[in-house]
Amino acid sequence: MNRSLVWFLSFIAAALTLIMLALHMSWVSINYILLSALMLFHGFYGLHTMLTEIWTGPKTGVALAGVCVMLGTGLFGLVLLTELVT
Amino acid sequence: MPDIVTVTFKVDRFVQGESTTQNYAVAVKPGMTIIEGLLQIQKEQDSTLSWRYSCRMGICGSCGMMINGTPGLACNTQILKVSQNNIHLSPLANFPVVKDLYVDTGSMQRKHRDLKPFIVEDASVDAPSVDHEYRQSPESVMTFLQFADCIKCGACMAACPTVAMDEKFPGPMPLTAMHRYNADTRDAGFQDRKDALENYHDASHCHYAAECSSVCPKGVDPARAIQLLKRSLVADSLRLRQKREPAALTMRAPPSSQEGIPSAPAFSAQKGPDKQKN
Repeated sequence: MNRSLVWFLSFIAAALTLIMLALHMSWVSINYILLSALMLFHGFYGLHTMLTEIWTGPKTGVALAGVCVMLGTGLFGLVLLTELVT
Repeated sequence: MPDIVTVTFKVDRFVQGESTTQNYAVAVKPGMTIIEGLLQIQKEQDSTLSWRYSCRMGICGSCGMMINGTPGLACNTQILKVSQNNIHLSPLANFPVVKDLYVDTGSMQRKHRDLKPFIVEDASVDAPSVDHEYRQSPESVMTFLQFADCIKCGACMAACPTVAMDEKFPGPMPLTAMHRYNADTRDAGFQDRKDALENYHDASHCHYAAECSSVCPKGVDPARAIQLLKRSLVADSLRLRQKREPAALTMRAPPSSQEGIPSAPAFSAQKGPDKQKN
């Protein structure tokens, strides 16, 4: 996917996270699965950006993206499991 | 006679892999610039001191250096406006040092060149003939005019925290030039530059510290250029970027209509005597 578009989506995810957290604080029920997905995407995108600025090898960006996607998917799976089981 | 103040120049010197700091006492008159101080040191105290300079009037961008830890031009910084006692001079940060205050700006020039800092003509439109020129409204010129003031001195590159960390980030100067040409109505090279940017970390790696804008000696605002570039790249990804009509062509004004503009002096318009013989 286009890098500029992913960057923009990470901003959208941050804005939606803030809105959902504000709603959560006012005791409006929110969808925690969606909130987790948004936070994980925004967080791992930021982590990936920081790490690629430190390690700038030719394949590093792709490798780090793979690791971030796997970690994010794993954590999201854990959230799904917790939400659906409990 | 104006008061003369003695200011200590602490200069970071780097010769053949060895780094030292050397102190020089300089007699400073009001209005004297750092480059004048360095020339005085070179003439009277140490002829081996090296730095780069050319125009001495803030146009060529050669004499960029760190002045008390902040990037700036030595030629348009007055000594007494910086300090009455000590001035610490070091080579521009984020560039490899060649000798003393002289750095190699090659990496910046390569990134600048790669992002096509020139007008790319629309291949689908016939090139204008010599008696035509592109028409530009004052409004369209204002969209990029301040970014065209950049003199490529490298001060913004030395101030940028992302450039310091990330060698694949083009940096404020090349990205400002990229936006300057993208915004030009005569240009059709947006896609070419976007493709060229694929070889680097793109504009989204700018974290908007805005140090580039605060240190620019020409008052250019590279941070704003990068934000505008980000916006155009995102809009292009979402297919929301406004397709611009190519700039209209117009006939060049005949010389008779150029009232108030003096004609070229004869010696520059005619061939020299030795060429006329041939």
